[in-house]
Amino acid sequence: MRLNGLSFHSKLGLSGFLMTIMLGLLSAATLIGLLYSSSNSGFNIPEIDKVKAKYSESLLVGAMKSSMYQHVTVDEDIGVVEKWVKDGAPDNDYFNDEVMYIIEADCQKCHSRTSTMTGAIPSMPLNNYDDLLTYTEKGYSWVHMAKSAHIHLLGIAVVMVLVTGIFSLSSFPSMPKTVLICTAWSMLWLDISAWWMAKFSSVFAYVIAGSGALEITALVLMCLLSLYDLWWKKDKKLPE
Amino acid sequence: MFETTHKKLFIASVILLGSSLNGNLQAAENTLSSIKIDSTVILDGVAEPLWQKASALQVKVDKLPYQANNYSGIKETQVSLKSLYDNEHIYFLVQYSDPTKSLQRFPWQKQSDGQWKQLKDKDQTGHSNNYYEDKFAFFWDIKAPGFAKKGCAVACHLVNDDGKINGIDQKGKTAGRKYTRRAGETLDMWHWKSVRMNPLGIIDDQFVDHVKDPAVNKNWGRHGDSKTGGGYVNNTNKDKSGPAFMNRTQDGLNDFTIVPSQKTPFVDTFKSGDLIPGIMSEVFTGSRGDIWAKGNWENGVWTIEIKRKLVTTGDKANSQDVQFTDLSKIYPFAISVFDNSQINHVYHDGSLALSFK
Repeated sequence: MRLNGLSFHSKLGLSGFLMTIMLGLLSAATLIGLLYSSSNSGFNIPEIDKVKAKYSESLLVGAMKSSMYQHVTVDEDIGVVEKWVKDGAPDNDYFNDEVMYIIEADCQKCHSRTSTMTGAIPSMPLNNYDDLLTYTEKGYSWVHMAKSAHIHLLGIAVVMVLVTGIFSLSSFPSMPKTVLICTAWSMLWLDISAWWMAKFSSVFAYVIAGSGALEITALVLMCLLSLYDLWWKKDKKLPE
Repeated sequence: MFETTHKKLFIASVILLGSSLNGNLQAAENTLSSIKIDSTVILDGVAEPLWQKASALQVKVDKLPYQANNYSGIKETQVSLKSLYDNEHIYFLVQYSDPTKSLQRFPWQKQSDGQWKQLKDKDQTGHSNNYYEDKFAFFWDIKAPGFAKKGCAVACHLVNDDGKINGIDQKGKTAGRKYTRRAGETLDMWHWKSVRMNPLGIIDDQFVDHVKDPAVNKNWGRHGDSKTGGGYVNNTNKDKSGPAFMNRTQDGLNDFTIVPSQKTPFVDTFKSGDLIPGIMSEVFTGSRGDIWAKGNWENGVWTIEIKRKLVTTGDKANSQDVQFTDLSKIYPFAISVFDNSQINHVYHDGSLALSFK
């Protein structure tokens, strides 16, 4: 079976699926750009420092540098909290006078057990020392890693098997097909494993960014080439 | 032919996609452009044709600082903002949907036994959400780091899990307080109040500074601008059993406040269920009364026209008022809508920007 030999309606159905996957990838890239940049709108290229912050630093500091950056009043606040975490997160005057002052101003409105503010996150309170200590561990914790990894691996695998499966039926030569399919799968594994490795070396932040970009690129290319094969590529006689 | 058309469509789609990827398209998203005019806006709460010169900035306000246990007001509305300016003044046109015109601010009501009772309904924070007034607020950055990024949130402090703000017990007293981080950091707050100020044609011009101790100021960082006279006081007799004054006539907006021209000593000739204003208002003189405004509610929409000098010169003007001195600059601001509520309000994340054209 070849893609360009399918019936008109099968081509329509597969095209809808492939275009939906590309829109989904565009949305994912948009979200990644927003989470790892200083902007809260539009399309952005992720900043490597923010990727490092998320995977190589404590969840508290990492969030202040990336996903929660929009709530940080001034950049100096991050330095104050970062210093406290690097010093071992002690329960001292510095914590009470400097760190909690920032947490109260920038975080507690939402991160409070009793907050009823729109968008509040009562399940992640930052009300006292014990609350904050939970988020000072460097990089992903075992629980966080297991939770994020299984969701991404299982979810992306379903998309990947469908896209690679469709692309494998295209009439392109074997070599590009092999390269793209192998790239997509290997980059997925590399990306997820680098989440954990970044805990030990921030160099793996570059691996996360690179493998993620390659993974999305491979998927988009497979979608585009499959669409091309469905509608535009001239029919060739199949070998006997 | 068919193939060529498809290829062109494909290329056009790629170009379109590429264009949409340009983040710069987002730049003007939250900017209100003030347009130069050479005539004057009439402040009557009616949008005259002159406003057609300005483009509207649509702002969705859909966030609440807390869930009041008796709040029945709007939780979301779209605010349309326009701005014009001339050589001396800047003007704003504010329009938003509010299905209820709320003016009964703590009124006195005659009871069946002849006694008078002031109608109040306090929520869990001790504030009213049903016997109050509709309000609208502008918040302007004077000098507060982080405002351009976070908007109002830079000065908003809510009670923590222990019921405290800045270590001070606030349980049952409030949901939050406003103050800036450090001395010298101030924000300009224009508080339009449909009952207390609208009949007088002004806005209550206030500001927020760094005070975070009620022993210094009972409203913490929130202050009225400097004034030489005027203001509002409760309409309560000496033993607090009823009103001290009433209006000569009972009509229109004056029904729920008493302005000087209407003020007359209370004489009880009323029947059960009748209402008397719970507040008396007088025009602020000085910096606190240097913004003029008129609001009009019609068919579920508030229309408010506002006028202020581009540069004010009142007492402490530079620390209490935003000054539009440089028309090439961007001025960050934020807005919020109060629907018959004392402190609860719907707001938006981040800040907006005003530019001059």
